Amino acid sequence: MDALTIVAAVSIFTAGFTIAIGGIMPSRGEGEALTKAIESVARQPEQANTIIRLFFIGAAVVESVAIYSLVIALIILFANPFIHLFTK
Amino acid sequence: MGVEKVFTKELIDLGYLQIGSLKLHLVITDVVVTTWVAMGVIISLSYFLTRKLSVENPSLRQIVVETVIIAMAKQIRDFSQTPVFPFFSLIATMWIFVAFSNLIGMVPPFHTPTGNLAAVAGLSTITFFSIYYYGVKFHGVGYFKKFFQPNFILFPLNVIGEFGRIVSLTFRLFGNMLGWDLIIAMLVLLTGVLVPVPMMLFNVVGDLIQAYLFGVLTLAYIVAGLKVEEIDKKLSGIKEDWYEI
Repeated sequence: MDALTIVAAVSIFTAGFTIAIGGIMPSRGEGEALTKAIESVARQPEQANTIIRLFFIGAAVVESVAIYSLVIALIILFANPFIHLFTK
Repeated sequence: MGVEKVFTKELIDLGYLQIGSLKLHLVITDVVVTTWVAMGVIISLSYFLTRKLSVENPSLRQIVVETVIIAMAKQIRDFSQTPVFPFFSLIATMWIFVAFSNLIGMVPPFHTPTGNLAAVAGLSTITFFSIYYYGVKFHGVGYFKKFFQPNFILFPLNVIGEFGRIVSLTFRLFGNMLGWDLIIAMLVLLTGVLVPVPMMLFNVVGDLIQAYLFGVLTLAYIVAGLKVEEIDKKLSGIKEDWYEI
């Protein structure tokens, strides 16, 4: 097994693990935030606009962690910084 | 591999520019062309939609444009709790431009310009400088005292935090747009031509939400550094009622 094979195999494996682990907790957090938002809207329907707006902003902020994982997985897959050391 | 088609293509290569130790690669990509097309369409639309305005008998065109403008003004007012006058032109322009750039990727010859890191970083640079523009406008030079709060030892952490939120703003829009493009490209590869159409309809909702978030987070970063009593003192002379129906 030469160096290129090892780098390629580890890259693919790591990319899958990055997005898998990085997707678990943000999606859980967003689900909990959505649960609370729906509960609050059911309790106070007159505040629905404010709550939904705050939920969208909060969900976007929580989601940025998952987006970092996605960006790193994309870098590993499509712009791998180490693969050019072994290919001519 | 067909997935690579969602990435930026280089159209014209103008070579390298050397300034000291800085080496710049001058290249015209399809993102530049698409952005100029988007700008041309937005500018000509705003020119032709605002001709022959009238108060007595407004046309359908005028009613639609007024509805959009009033909806945006109400969103900004609800969020910042101040008169919308100082922020309206910046935030509304960002909303229109980012939403249009996100949606133009669905028209076949074009790629999504916001799926390129450089384009989104340019937009975030506007956000970065507008934060300090509004801070100095409302608070004077004393605005920069917030870097030394609560203690001057925390100055490096404040600077890192300031850059961190701009970086997260950049990567949010870029990652979302590129991620959806990749998902659709992989669906096209795996299945047929018409199967990804429902996913593209989801994509429209995602595009509009991301554009909304880009503008709203810009507004949030601007407003977060300002004190309400300072804004009230500066803007007390402005009476706004054009967006109240």
